[in-house]
Amino acid sequence: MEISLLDYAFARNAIAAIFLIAALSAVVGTYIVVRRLVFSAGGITHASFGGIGLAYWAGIDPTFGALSFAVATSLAINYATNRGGIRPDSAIAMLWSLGMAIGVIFLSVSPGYAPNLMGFMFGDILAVSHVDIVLSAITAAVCIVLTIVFYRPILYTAFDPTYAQIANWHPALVTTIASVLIAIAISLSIKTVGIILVLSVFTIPQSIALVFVHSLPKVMILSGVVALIGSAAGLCLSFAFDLPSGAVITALLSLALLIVKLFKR
Amino acid sequence: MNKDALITFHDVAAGYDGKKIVSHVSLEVDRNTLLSIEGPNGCGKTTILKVMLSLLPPLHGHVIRQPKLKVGYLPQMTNADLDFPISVADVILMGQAQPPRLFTSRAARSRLAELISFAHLDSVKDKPFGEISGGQRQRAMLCRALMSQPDILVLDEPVTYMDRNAEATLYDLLPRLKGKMGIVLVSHDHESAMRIATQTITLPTPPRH
Repeated sequence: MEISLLDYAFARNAIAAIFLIAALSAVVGTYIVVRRLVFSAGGITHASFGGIGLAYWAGIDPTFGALSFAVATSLAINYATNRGGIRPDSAIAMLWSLGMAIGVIFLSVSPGYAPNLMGFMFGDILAVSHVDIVLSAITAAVCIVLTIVFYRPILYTAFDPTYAQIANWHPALVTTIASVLIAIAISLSIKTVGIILVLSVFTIPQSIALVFVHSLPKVMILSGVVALIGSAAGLCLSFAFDLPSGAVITALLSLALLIVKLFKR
Repeated sequence: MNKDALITFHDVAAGYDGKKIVSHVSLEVDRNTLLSIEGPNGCGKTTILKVMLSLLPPLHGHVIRQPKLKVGYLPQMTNADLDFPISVADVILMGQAQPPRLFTSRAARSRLAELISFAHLDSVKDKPFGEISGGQRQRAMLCRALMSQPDILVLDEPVTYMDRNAEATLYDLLPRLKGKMGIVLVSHDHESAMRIATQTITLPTPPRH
């Protein structure tokens, strides 16, 4: 009897994971890049390490730890900036380090060895579970539907928040919902590409797309395609050469950006 | 009192955190007004506009608006993100009075076409907003402010970042709107503003604290 790779659940999950990460990158990543929220997204990503540490210590699924810390961090950044009178970049840096610190403290007091830690830092696509896939699929569906239904308020708030305020389109609400969805999307993508590398999948495809197209829907579609090709190629190479998937995907996307910038000026 | 007045200020004072920047402002704007607000830097010109736009409550005095008054706003150029992937037409469509929808109504599309021809933007309407000239960008912003067919058009130093040519084109467009809407203009450029204004208010230099 012939056994194909697709007979294995881990391989099917890995393939589903790259399709979902491409969809999330298309919608959420484009929003991050055009609103210049890359540093904020970096803060959310790293702060989620606190949740991973806490989850190890408490013996629960680290994905849920990452998810709750990411959402809390995104809300805390908004609150500290809008109400707390703290400069956005300082608030982000503080929460970024605090999250990492909490993670390290809980890991150091957890009994035994934390076996999947490297996977969380640099990505281990083969560790992606069925639950992760279902959660990512729901998040991607919610993000895509909200983006289509509220396309113009999102576009206008992102382009010119002051005008959105004057026109009474509730830019603060749009921004808060968007930052929660960014946090969810990022934390669910951590298993595939890792904390250190997840931002590359949410920013490099957009930088490539913006070289060729100049409208938000086109940037979303093209960056989704680039993210999909980059992740698929990265996954194949990581299988073939037994390398960590996240690192290979990041390297490939960076190389693609370099080539595009060199040849299309 | 003028019964056609769209907005009336009675002895208004305004400022931030309870501190007055500008006081004793009284004015009336109707559809035939082109009001120029002048004065040195920091005298509170933009503060008065913020009260007009309901972004700031007055600290003293009364502001009377006609019910359901629609105000169009043309900000200084510096607010827009020029790297943002958005077309000129999409920027203008932001000004629709209806809450924004995914698909643009036929009425909005015909209004868009009318404004694009009014502001001589036909050749650039599908281009990225960041790739057109400063003067064209400011005219696109003017179209955005006009999209909802406002009762009052508020312009905050609209020619600050523009060359002489672009400035002349913009100032030629404004008098063509007279009678359709009241216009309130804040400008550093006294001469050009005087040429088109029907009323002028000069705010005094603020007291030093």
